[in-house]
Amino acid sequence: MTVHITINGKEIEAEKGKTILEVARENGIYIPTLCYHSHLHPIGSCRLCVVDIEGYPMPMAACTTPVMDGIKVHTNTGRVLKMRRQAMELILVNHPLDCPVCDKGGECRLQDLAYEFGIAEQPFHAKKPEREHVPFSTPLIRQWYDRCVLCLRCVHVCHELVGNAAIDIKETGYRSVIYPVAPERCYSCGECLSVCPVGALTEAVNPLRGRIWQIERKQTTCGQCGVGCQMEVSTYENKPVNIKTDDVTEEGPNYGSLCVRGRFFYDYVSSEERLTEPKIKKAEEWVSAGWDEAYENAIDHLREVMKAHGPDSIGFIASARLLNEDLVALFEFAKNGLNVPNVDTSSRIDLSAHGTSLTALKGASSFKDLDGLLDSDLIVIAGGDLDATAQIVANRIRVAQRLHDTKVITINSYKTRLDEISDAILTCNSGTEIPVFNGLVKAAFEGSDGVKKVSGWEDFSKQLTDYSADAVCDAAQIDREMFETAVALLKESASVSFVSGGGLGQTTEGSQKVKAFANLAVACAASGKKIGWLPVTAYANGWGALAIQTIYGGGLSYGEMIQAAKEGKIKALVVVEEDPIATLPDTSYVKEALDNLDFLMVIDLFETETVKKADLFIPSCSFMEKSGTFINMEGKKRAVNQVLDPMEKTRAVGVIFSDIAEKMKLEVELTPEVIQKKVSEILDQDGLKTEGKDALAFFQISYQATRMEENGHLFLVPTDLHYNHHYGTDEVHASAIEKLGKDPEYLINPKDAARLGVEDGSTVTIKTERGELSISPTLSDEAKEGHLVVRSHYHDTGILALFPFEMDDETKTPFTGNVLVKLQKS
Amino acid sequence: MIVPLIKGLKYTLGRFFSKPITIQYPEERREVAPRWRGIHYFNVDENGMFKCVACGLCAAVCPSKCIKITAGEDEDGVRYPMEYEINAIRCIYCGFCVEACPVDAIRMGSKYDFTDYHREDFLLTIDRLVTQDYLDK
Repeated sequence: MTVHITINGKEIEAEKGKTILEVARENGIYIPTLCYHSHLHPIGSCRLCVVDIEGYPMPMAACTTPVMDGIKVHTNTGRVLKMRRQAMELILVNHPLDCPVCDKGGECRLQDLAYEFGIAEQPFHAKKPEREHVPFSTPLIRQWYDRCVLCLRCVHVCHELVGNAAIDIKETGYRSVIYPVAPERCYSCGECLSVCPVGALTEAVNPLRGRIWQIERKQTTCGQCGVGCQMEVSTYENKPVNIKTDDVTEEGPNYGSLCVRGRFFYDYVSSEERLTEPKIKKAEEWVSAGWDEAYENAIDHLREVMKAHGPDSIGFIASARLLNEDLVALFEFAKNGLNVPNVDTSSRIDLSAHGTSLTALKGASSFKDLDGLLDSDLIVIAGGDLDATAQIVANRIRVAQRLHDTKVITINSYKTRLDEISDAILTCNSGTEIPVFNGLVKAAFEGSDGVKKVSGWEDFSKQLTDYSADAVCDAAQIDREMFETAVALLKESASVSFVSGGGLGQTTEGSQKVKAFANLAVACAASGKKIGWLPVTAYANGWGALAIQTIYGGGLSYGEMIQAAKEGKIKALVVVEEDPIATLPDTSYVKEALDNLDFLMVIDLFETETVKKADLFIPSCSFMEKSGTFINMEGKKRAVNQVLDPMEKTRAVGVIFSDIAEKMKLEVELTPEVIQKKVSEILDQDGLKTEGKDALAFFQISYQATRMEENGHLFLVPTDLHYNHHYGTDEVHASAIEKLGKDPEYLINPKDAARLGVEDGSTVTIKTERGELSISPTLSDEAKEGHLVVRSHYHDTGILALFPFEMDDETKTPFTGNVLVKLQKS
Repeated sequence: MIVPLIKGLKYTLGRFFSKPITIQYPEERREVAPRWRGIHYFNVDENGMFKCVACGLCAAVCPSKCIKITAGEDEDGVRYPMEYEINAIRCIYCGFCVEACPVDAIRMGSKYDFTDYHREDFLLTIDRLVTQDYLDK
């Protein structure tokens, strides 16, 4: 539907439902605004956008008034100009003239407007209201009451985009103030900071400050998780000063939103703890070495091991945070140069299970970008707390729910923040996700004709006989009503998105869990629904790494290499920006395996636990110091631009391996051009695209129920920890972590606590076959009965040491989960 | 013809017996005008602290780009210069920095000659701008 309006005499055809401001902006007509933000509902607090409409006695706010057919709008009549000026003068009454010391100086919307209106002084005066200073909801942001112009952008963004409602306006009229009403709900994501048009909220993370005329600002892709957010890094003298998104608000996948990691953890790249010199261990002591010496050392050792034990005795483990270019250089060097078969990346832990599931979904009319969430009628979330792993995805789901009334089903073994907006909360027992998925398929689709045409249905439907609604609800301990709601939602929705957190693939029977979840998607697709499949990845280049490792193929996997090292089959290991000790379960096992090696070479930024065990250390650089590409969780290529020069002597991983290859005179060409060509070849033929003609197929699922044993045992459920394990290597060096200073939380259901006689805050020991840990649990409903939920935040808890070293049969993913712990009061 | 010559000689002889215009520089120095733009110094408050709040306006306005300022913020949110440096060789002594300064932190003194043996000695850091150690050079 279109309407015809005129603005300043110009005839315009506009879409119905848009506001006057939006239409004017689209047609290049300027109307000043302060509180308006394109991603928020119109607020209408500043009154700067008033316009005259013929036939109406009083001017109206352009940002809140929708266009109507035939209206004649004038944006620059004497009356509105006077009103705007006066509104501006009133806003300035309480605003202090502290621009020189204000962080926002030079980039301040209010400064720009005052300049535009030519206001050098104003006639109003008022007594400053006295306010008691209350700490803001996060220690990473400083609040300046007197600079606030009460535009309410921060409050709206916290309510609308983040859904936290941690801050709100308190008191009324002249005494109004932005107040942290629910600081415990704050994620420290800094969305409020980013939308503040003045300097009322400023960053309190990094002491370094830069004015707009001193800094350089460049767009890049965030390298801290798999979402691939676009952001702009401001740098001053080769140090990051802050992260902004003001000029990338219209670019996906994040549209100007960031999480706490993206916005505040940037300063780890310039941390003083960075290691910048190659080091060689001589007689248990680190000795600094030059680059040539380090290269020689690496070459000598690798040749020695190869000569004595053959190329099979060497292994390469790389992080999936590396750029595609780095990974291709590494794989070319190891596979084609040295003929070493064992090369693997950490996407093995993160994504392998999803890699196989994607092939089955190729035939479905599916999408996998985040924008697709907004078009879905139903979003099914399983395995993990999205707010902890990928807050941007969780935010998008909340926006979909708020704007389009999208229904949500959550399937998890503990309560998450997304349960608040969920229509069917299926909080199942740890390890019973498979019965839940199977039960849903059976209850919702068994009778439909569509699924019967899909290959594999006959065998799969035989498996389903055990999964009647009653049996599933009993086994998984889920609410029957909720289950029925979920079934009804699955039946009636025309488009369904499936969001899978890391929790599925990284736990016991991970590959089967993901397949069971994929079966649910296949059933939906077979019934003629539009489906979306979004696996959330923890590593920035998870998909890229998976594509590369799949194409080069063969050899031992990450976990198998550690196993082989323990058994003495692998003699030399090259670990690149990965920390197996902090990442893999059964810490002592991994440590023993690494001790067993003849030669351990580690390339990393910081002194990780693995680096401490190395024989040779080579420093590399962060994602801000190199250029290349990531493949984000949507399977899209995202450009990573170099914003900083590499710190001191550090070099990018790709450069290191091409240097070594050249020194070894290997028959591989690793010039940037060749690498670039190889990368595009690989990514063009990757097996990750969802478009394709392959037919849909159901997976066969194998499932073995874990039974709860005697009293006193609880399921150990680590949450943020094992999805965000790479926190342990780089981001812990960000100064924001110290300020947040959250201790690990151990949550236990009050019923269990009563049964086991555990009091809130008392110290207990938890024991598994592999070890024990002294903890002080908190009583909380967030933990399901029979579970001990661990929220590790950013600190190493030692919880991984309690899990045995086991791998998935199919994907070879070393997993954590389904471990029973015994609680003992100390 | 002879008259102008006599006039000139008269002036010369007059000067010969009057007080000299030149001074014995560097032993003697001339007083400068109150608005003279000499070498910079940092104005201090009653506690002896410099007033700079690291707003960066001096660096922004400087036409010869001789001011380097790294701004920082302490734990209480107070802005201060972590680093401040004027390159006195590059400076053209236009005085724009003084005019731009919103807190009267930087001023220009009366010293107009500044000599030293090394280029580094012409870098005026915060300490030097406060103590004005270059005054006796």
